[in-house]
This record gives sequence, structure tokens and C-alpha cells, in this order.
Amino acid sequence: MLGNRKRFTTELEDLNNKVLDMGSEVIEAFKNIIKACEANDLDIAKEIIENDQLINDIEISINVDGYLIIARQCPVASDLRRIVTALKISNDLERIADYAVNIAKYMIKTKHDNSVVVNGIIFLGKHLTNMLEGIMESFEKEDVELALKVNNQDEILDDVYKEEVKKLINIGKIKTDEESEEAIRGLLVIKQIERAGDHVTNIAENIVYLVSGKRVELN
Amino acid sequence: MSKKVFEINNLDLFYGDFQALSGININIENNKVTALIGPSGCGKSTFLRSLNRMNDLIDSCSITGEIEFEENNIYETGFDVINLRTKVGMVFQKPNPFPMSIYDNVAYGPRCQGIKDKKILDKIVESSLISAAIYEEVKDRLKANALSLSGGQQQRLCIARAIAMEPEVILMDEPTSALDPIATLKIEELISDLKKDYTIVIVTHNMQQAARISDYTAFFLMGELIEMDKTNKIFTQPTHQKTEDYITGRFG
Ligand SMILES: Nc1ncnc2c1ncn2[C@@H]1O[C@H](COP(=O)(O)OP(=O)(O)OP(=O)(O)O)[C@@H](O)[C@H]1O
Ligand SMILES: [Mg+2]
Repeated sequence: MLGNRKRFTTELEDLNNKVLDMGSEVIEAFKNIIKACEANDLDIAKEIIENDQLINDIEISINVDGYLIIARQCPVASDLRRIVTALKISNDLERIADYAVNIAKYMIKTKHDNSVVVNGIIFLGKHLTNMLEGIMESFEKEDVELALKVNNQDEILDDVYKEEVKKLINIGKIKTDEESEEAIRGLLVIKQIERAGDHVTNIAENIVYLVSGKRVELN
Repeated sequence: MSKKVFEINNLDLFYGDFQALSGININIENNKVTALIGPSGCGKSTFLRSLNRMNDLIDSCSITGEIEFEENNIYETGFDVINLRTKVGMVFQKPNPFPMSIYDNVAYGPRCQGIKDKKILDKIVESSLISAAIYEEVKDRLKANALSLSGGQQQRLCIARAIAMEPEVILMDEPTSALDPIATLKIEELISDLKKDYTIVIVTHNMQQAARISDYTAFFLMGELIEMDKTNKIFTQPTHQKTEDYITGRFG
């Protein structure tokens, strides 16, 4: 039983490390989005799309491991919370990575380089990247206070997003048809970052649960 | 709030100089399953036995504090122990059928209470065996010796024997520790069924069993009650680190 406990502990650590790895990959994806926008570099955008497979694979591996540990060890208390949290956070990270892919696809598809959209992506993208770094650090350190702080940054993200939306709506009203269409596409792509922020708040909720056992609604 | 059957206040129990239980305060709720968990030697069986005064049989055992059963202190002088044991039945870790027929095992208690009418006895035996989920397996061989049953069947027979006394509470000390997974499952299902009519206190070393079948879980450690709470709470977010360490196997 106690020998087994050691193995169990190692399995939980491995699971945790996979979540951290996945987090690093997702952060990298958004840093690359910013880079690609700043340098107008479509190769970086393509890389983001290719690299998404790796992120999906880590998620699947977290799922497989998590279910296996549950079946084998019948975990309870903090062990159970750790596994459930790993499964949920990896799900949110996977969605966030999908948003990065959507943005990258947008960049490749659009011919016009609309500076309002690109600047919006860069501005919101940097804010989101900060949130992602903060939330993964709070997961690693099991720091609820930091998680809540990051969660509050989502409101700022939402406000900035609304500002960007206003700009794009104005463009849509006064410019040519083609430019209006661009503006609408831009709206949809910037929305991706706002959505990603909501998933960061889900992660914050799960960190609170991991540490305290309490389910909170932060969003 | 449901009714409490037992209220235990400041219970201390000694075997000679050795203190086996210290300052235990617990309420046992009516029609609920309460699981007692904790490492070997922490006092689970001792506590269980004190609820129907089975410890009286141990000479060196002395008790202070209060155990109220339905609002009467069971250790008060003049308390009717025979009546207590009728109302608070017990099933032991090892199945212990009497070396007599299946029928006679179940009829034993009611006969001791003075019931002689064959028809009434037949009815009690049948309904007790049905309640203990063993009737179908033994109905055609009620006259067979109880010792010819399998371990799991013997354990259910012992539960039937306890039920035949029409108790209010059934105390079970590791009732499935010697059984295979199927027999264990049957007993677990039985316990869930029984709680409609009975209050059950069960000692188990099987954490998953406690998590599956009980409403409340009490964690004992070295003669002390560390934590008692709703089972769902204990197994997802226990309050005390010692409880957490024990149920997750980090103990020691
Ligand atoms: N009849 C007795 N005389 C003296 N000491 C006893 C007696 N019965 C139990 N003890 C002691 O009291 C303590 C509690 O024993 P108890 O049998 O209640 O433990 P338990 O929690 O049921 O353990 P297990 O899980 O191994 O059944 C132990 O240290 C034990 O040695
Ligand atoms: Mg015992």
C-alpha cells in the first residue's frame, strides 16, 4: 500500500508536469501570434497551426493518464481534486490553443492588412499572454491569490475588447464594402482572444477548487 | 435535522491502565449509515462494542462519560442491557453462525424472546432472510446446517439473524473483510436497503466501501475522533490534514 503510494505520487507529479508543459505550449502559441502580427510573418502563423497537434496530443495524454489513475487508485480528497483539475484545465488550455489557431488561420487568409485589427490582436494578445503566464504560475505554485488576481484581469481584457469592437464597428459604417467585410472578420478574430480570457477564468476557478475544495463561480 | 439514536459525550474507555478511547463526542443519526474508519488499533471495534455494552464482557474495561441511546444513558445502573442488545444488534467481522440449521439460526433470537408459535417463527425467518438478501439461495434447504453455507452466505445469514431480533440499530464490524467482491457487493447493497428501516454503524478498512455506502464517516486515530462529517465531504475535502493523509494513503 505505501509502496504503491509512492508510485501514485509520481503518477500525479507526471500529470501535473504535463499540464504545465501544455500551458507553456499555449503561451508560446500566443507569443507567436503577437510575433507574427508584428513582423507580418505568415510562416510563424503556419507554425502555430502545425504545433496545435502537439497541444492536442498532450491533452489526450493527460486524459488517458487521468482516467487510468482514477481506475487504478480510486483517488480521494486532494488526490482526486488534482486529477479532476488536470483534466479540466487541459480542456480549457486546448480551447485556448484552438483560438490561437483560428487567429493564425485568419492571418493567412486575409490579404488586406487592416492595422486596426492587427493592432487589436497585438494589444489584446499581450494582455492575454500575461494572463496565461500568471495563471500557469498560480497553478504551479498553487497560489489562489495570484489566480484571483489573474481572474480580475479578465475584466480589463473585456473592456479593451469592447473598445476594439467600437473602433471596428465605426470602420464598418463609413468605409467601402470590402473594408467593412474586413472589419467584420476582424471583429470575429478579436472575439477569439476575449473568449480565451473566459477560459483563463475557468482555470482560475479550478485552481481555487484544487487548493480549497471549494467550487466558485468567478466569471 | 434527522433524529439521533445515539448521543455520545466525552467517552473515555480504558482496558486496565491503557486508554483506548479519549474524549469521544459523536451523534449517530437515525436511518443513516455511519462508517468508522482509521488505522488498526485506533479503537473502532472498541467504540462499536461500547454502543451495545459488549465491552461488559471484558473484565479490565472501564468507561467514563455518557452514551445515550434514545435519550437514556446506557451505562446508568439499572439500565436494561438485554433489551439494549435486542435493539442494538451486532454483526461481526468473521461470520459466526451457530452450528445448527439455517432456520434455527434465524429463529434463535425470537425463540429466546419467548416466541413459540411455529407460524410466527416461520414468518420471521422468511422475512429476515428476504431482508438479508439470502432467501432465494436458501429457501429450499432451511433445515441444512448453516455451516454448509459459503462465507458470504454465512455473513448474510448472520445479518438475517440480527434482523430477526427487530433491532433499531445494527452494528457491523468489518462485515465484508473476508468476502469476495460479489458477496461484498451484495452486502453493500443490502446495507443500502436496510437503512430505510435501520440505523447502521459499520467499521471498515475499505475506503471505497465507506465512500460508497455511508452517509457519515468518522475517522479515529489513536483512540481519538479526529473528524466526523458527511461522507461526501470527508472523501472530497476533509477538514483535517490527518484525515487527508489517512484516506489518501500518505499515512505513516
Ligand atoms: N480486550 C482487550 N484488552 C486489552 N486491550 C485491548 C482489548 N481490546 C482491544 N484492546 C486495545 O485497544 C486498542 C483498540 O483496539 P480495537 O480492537 O478497538 O482497534 P480497531 O480500531 O478495531 O483495530 P482493527 O482495525 O485492527 O480491528 C488496541 O490498542 C488494542 O490493543
Ligand atoms: Mg477492529
